This record gives sequence, structure tokens and C-alpha cells, in this order.
Amino acid sequence: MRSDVFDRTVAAIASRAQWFLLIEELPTRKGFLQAVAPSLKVVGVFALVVVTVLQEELRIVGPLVVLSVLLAVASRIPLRTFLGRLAGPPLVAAVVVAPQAVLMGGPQLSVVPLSVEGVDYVATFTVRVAACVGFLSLLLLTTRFSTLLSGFDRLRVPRIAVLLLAITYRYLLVFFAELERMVRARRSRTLTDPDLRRTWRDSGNFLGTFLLRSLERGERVGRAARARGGTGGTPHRPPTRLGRADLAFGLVVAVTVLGVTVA
Amino acid sequence: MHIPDGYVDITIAVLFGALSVAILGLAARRVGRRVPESRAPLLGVVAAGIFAAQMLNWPIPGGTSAHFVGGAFAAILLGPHLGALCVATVVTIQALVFGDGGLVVLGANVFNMAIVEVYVGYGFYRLLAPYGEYRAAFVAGWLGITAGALTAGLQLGLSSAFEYQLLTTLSIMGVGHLVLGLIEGAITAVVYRFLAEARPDLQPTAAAEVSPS
Repeated sequence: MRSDVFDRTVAAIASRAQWFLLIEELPTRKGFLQAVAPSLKVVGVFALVVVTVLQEELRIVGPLVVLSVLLAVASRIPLRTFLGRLAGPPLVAAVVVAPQAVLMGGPQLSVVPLSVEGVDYVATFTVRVAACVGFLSLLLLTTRFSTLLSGFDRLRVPRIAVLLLAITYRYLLVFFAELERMVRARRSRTLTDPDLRRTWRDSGNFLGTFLLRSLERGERVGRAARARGGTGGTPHRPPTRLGRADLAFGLVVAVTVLGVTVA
Repeated sequence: MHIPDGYVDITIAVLFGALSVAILGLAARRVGRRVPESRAPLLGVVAAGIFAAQMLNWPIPGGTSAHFVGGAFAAILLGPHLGALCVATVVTIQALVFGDGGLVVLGANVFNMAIVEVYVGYGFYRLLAPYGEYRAAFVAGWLGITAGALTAGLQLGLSSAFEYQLLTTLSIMGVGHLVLGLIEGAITAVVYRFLAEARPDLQPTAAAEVSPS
């Protein structure tokens, strides 16, 4: 395996694993959204994203981004982490729709050959994507995945879907570690960089071996679960009564939806 | 190919979300009356394996690299219905754990990557397998991902939130993935070649053996 490709694979695995640690640690902090019941948080965040998607004016989507940042601060999410999440997708969105600043008709800005309508569209589109990413990030960074699944259970999402997500999540780190181990082992046995053809053939065997191991592990886990008389599903905590944080979050969502509708 | 929230309007998101739920429901029924819980560990673990396999970088000429997506491959390995459920799980985990794609648009992303890519890929594989299995796996990977990209282009082009015309979005997504898809096709074929030699019992005709009920 070529050294640059090896490095990229290890970096990709490390980045995903680092994110795993973050989403397991941040939800344990004592913050506003961490105290909200998962089912209510899912519904509330979904409502906020829907309301955002429906907006076509910058004066409305702008405050929605501010709201997501305020909620992040209240939930004790490090601003650097949150803004880091917030920056990527809107940047891509801006690049994707930037030509519209020229292509859209209407009156032009005084100095540069950009239409007023086009610039407004690009800004609105980019900020709308930022607000949506902000709300989704709030959900991911303040809710442990097992808690999120218990919320889905409460919302009557089919049990099999919840079970599948739980098992996949549980085995992700196992496979990340296994893949990294295999890549490092292969690297240690490779003395020179082989040519492209050889690299592809070796990578095919490598990935085939890895997928075969996944499949065989899946079969083993399935057999073991059946032998135990269960399916390996994660037991969820029973729902608790709604508290002050739930009411406050419900109020924030209701006021936002109402405010945006009136505006 | 993950569409984030804010790119497509709510009508398109709801429409494709409903289509995804309906088709995955049918897939679950075709697998059994409904997916038996005894199959969940196999599906869940393989989904985690496919997710991890996407981390592996493949060198391509010019010093850059690509990665495996695996929709068509999952269909060949598990059969189309289990493959669709498996990839739908991967796409959902990508959204709900890593924030790849969006929340409201999740159904549309599942439609493109777990339904269109999987079933179109599998269709080409079955159609062409009698003329050469490796070539069939290549075409399945190549045209499966291209079909998924075309439906993403369709969703974006039909959306009132995205100002580009339908023809533009279809051209950009279609042509781009017709070229990039060659890499997915090649990866699918080389991995298929290894598996066919190492475990011939895993070929689709013997799918029942790897899908214990």
C-alpha cells in the first residue's frame, strides 16, 4: 500500500474515532440541552430545521444561526468545536451557489458585475445551510447515541430500525480499530511502494478480507444472540417526567416557530 | 453525495422521505414477513463493516485518492433487500452520528444511496452476470452510483430552494459521477473478485446461506 494512501486512511479513521470520543463526552456535561428529554429534543430540533428550510429571507435565517449559537453556549459546547462544525458545509454551499450571484437577473451592484438579487440569494442559501447544520450539531453534541435511540423508541420508530442502528453504532469502533490494525500490519510488511496495478490488486484482497471478517463476525454475533435467546438490543432507560429544561426548550421552539411565521 | 439540509425544499424532502419509508418497508417484507430481529445482528455488524471500509483510501493516478461507497457491493453480497436495509443503516448513522447530510433530508439521501444505488446496481449485476461476473460487478458499481447521483440531481433540480435548472443539476451530477463512478466500479470488481475466489458460497445464488433467518 502506498505511503500517502496509508496516511490518509489512518487520518480518516483517527478523525472519525476522535469525533466518537467527543460525542460521548460532551453530552455528559451539565448544560441546557443535555437536560432535555431525547424524544422532545428530536422533535424540537426537527421542527427548528423544518422552519429554517422554509425560509427564503436573510433577515430571518440570520437570527436562526444566532439562536443555534446561543443554544450551544447554554449547553456548554465549546464554541470552537461548534463553530468548526458550522463552518464547513456553508462554505461548500457558498461555492456551489456562488455563480448565481452573476447568473441571476435584476439590478446590479454599483461597482462589481453582481446582481442584487443573486447576492441576496447566495447569502440566504449559505446562512440557511449554516442554521440547519447548527441545529443538527446541537442534537449530535448534546445527546449520547444510546439516549437518542431511546428517544426514537419513545417516538414509536420501528423497533427493528432502532435495533439495527444500535448494533451498527456498537460495532463501528471495533471495525475502525480492526481496519487500522490491518492497515498498519500491511504497512509494516511493505518495504517499497508497489506500482498502481499491484496496489489496486492488493487493496482488493485487503478490503475483501476485511469485509469477509465483518460478515463472519456478523454471523457469529447473530448466532450468539440467538443462542442467548435475544438479539443484542440495548435496553433503554424508562422515560422520566418532563422537567424545567424540557418546558424551557419547548418554549424556545414554540416562540421561534411562531416568531418566524409572523415575520 | 450527501445532501445537507437547506438544499432541497420541504416538499421534495417529504416526498422522497415517504418513498424511502415505503420501499424499505417493502424490502423488509420481502426479506421475511418483516425483518426478523434475529437478522439484526448480521445486518448491523455488516453495516458497521461497510462504514469502516469506506475509510480505506484507494490511490488513483495524479496523486489523489478515492474511497469505496459500497451500495452495489452490499446488494451483491447480501441480496438487494438486505443490501438496501444495510446501506440505509449506514446512511442514517452517517447523519445522526457524524452529521453527514441532514435531518429533514435524510429520507432523500437514503433514497439515493440505499435504494437507487443498491437496486440499480443489483439490477445491472443480475443482467450482466451471465456474460462475466467481474464485468457485471464493475458495471453494477459504476452505474449504481451514477443512478444515485442522478436522483440527487433530480431532487436538487426540482427543488425551489436550489436555483439551478433541472438540466444543469442532472448534467453536473450525472456526468461527474459517470466519471467518478468508474473508480467505484473498479473497486467493486476487485473486491468481488477476491470474495468470489475466497468464499464462492457468498455469491447471490447462495445468498440464503449468509442470511440466516
